[in-house]
Amino acid sequence: MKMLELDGEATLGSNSFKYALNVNAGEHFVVIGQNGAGKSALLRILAGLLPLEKGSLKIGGQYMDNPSQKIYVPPHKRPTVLQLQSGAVFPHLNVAENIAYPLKCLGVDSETIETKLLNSLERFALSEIEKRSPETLSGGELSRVALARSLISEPDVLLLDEPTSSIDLEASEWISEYLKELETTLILVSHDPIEALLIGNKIMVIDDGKIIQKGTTSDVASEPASSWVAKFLNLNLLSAKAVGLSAEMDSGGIFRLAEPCYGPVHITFSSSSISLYLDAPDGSPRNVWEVVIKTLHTDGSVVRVGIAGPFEATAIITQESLRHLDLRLGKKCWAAIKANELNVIPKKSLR
Amino acid sequence: MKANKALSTPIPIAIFGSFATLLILLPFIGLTQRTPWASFFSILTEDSVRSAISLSLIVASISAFICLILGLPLGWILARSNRWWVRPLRAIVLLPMVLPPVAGGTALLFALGRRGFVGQKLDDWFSITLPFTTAGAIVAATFVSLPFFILAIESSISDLDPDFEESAMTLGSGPTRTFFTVTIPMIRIGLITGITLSWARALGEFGATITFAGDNPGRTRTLPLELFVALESNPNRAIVLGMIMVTISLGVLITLRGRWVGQK
Repeated sequence: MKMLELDGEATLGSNSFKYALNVNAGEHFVVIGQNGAGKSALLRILAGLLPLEKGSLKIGGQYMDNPSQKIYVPPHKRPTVLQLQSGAVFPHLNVAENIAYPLKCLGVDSETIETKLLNSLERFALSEIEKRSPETLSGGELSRVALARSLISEPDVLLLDEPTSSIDLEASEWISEYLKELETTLILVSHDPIEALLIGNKIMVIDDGKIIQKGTTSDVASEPASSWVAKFLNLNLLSAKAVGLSAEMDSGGIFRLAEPCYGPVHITFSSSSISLYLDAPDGSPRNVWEVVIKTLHTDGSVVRVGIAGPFEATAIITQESLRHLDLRLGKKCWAAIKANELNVIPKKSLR
Repeated sequence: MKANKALSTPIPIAIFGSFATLLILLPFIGLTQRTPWASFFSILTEDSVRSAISLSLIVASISAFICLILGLPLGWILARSNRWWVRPLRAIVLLPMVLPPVAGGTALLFALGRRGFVGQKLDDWFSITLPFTTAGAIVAATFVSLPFFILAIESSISDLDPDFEESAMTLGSGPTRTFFTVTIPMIRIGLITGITLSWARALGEFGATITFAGDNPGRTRTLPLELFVALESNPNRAIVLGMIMVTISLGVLITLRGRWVGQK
């Protein structure tokens, strides 16, 4: 089902934006792009803070914005919530009052508010600080309050502008894990490649007020539209369960780790840390798999090679090694990654 | 913290700075020195003094309330609207602040006085006459104190990050609800400052009041008018009235403490 259909233009000062976009219900779309490219403007158009001048926007099949038919639904009547980068937790309300704010606006009865609030406080581990004032909270706590408040009214579409940009790593991993599991349709502006790959199932790249590329994360990673995108997504991410020095991937296959680790982990590694060989390499202890070449894209002096084996990943090799290895689509070869090039991030347990 | 010798105050600056301090301080010392402490309370409880004090408090409080009702929306418009007419509007709004109050009172008289182009209509249609009534004194006080309130509100709304109001709106709060549940609570310090400043300005209002509302004991004769009248007939009473006003002003400074005084 199409949750969101946008095809329109807007201007803000001297900047103009022209976006066309369809989002299915439950999809997690990550918006990436350089500073000033117009990522936040896209969120503002969807939320109704930046009205369209041409074209139309439908959410859940209903027109939200259609200047030619004089339709404009103001932000507070849209089934969207926009969480700004600052979080904007109200300083004059305590934690519980902040989270309950959207329900009060909707005129929900106090019993339902109480039930939903208790639920939310527990889910976001905020029960113990429900009466505290925002100025006494840490960055991580503030971001959980902001997210709890954004979700309590169960919006159809949640728009997030860099929800983890100003908080420490541990808190941001918690948020990322939470968002990954979320069933709500999500459009998320991100500066963090790991976050983008972790939360998103689709990516769109914005440059100069236009969407220059959109697709699944692996599509975009294997054939990035610009060198900036390539650099941003020069990363592979896998899910695994670690037991000491080895980790079993969710998709099968074992990774050898450089340092012992236990429990569910995310493993990330740069595309350029993958080496490809025609024969199984021996020597130093390495992570080696037999893989099949799925995609080949030339990008200047390098070639991006999509490989599939126990897992899917993108490798970056030089033109020279491409010729040397004589790689072709469907060909089998060996992929190797050194254990110390793996970045292992323990998953935060979500209760 | 110990003063850095290399950065100590140059002598000429210290001298002229002391003169400025003396200029402000000396009148108060003079007033305190001449205050008839023995008869202070008997003067304070004289009918005319008590009536002037209560009239002043009423006029200033109602005027501050009107400033709140009228100034809050205008301050919001000045801070948030980016239309071309906002700049000229701001200049007009601030005019009473720099205009000599006597000129303001004269202008009020020709607009709202009995013969004024609005005042005549008020008189003909509603039998409302402002000159020589307490309502007239309130109009004069509001005219001079409104800019103080609006300035305080405009600056605190400009300082308020629009993120909070925008977030409230996408969370389901309409513009009016947002104004009352987010904007007003978040600018409460500016509101208190604005109310205090406009109240204090209204309390001390003399020129516009005597020009527009006249000197009518019990109706328009507020503390400053009572003081002015007493200066010729009864200097002791004038001094006591002066001391009352100094005390009130100190109270205002203490109220605004932390925002305008001290904190660096």
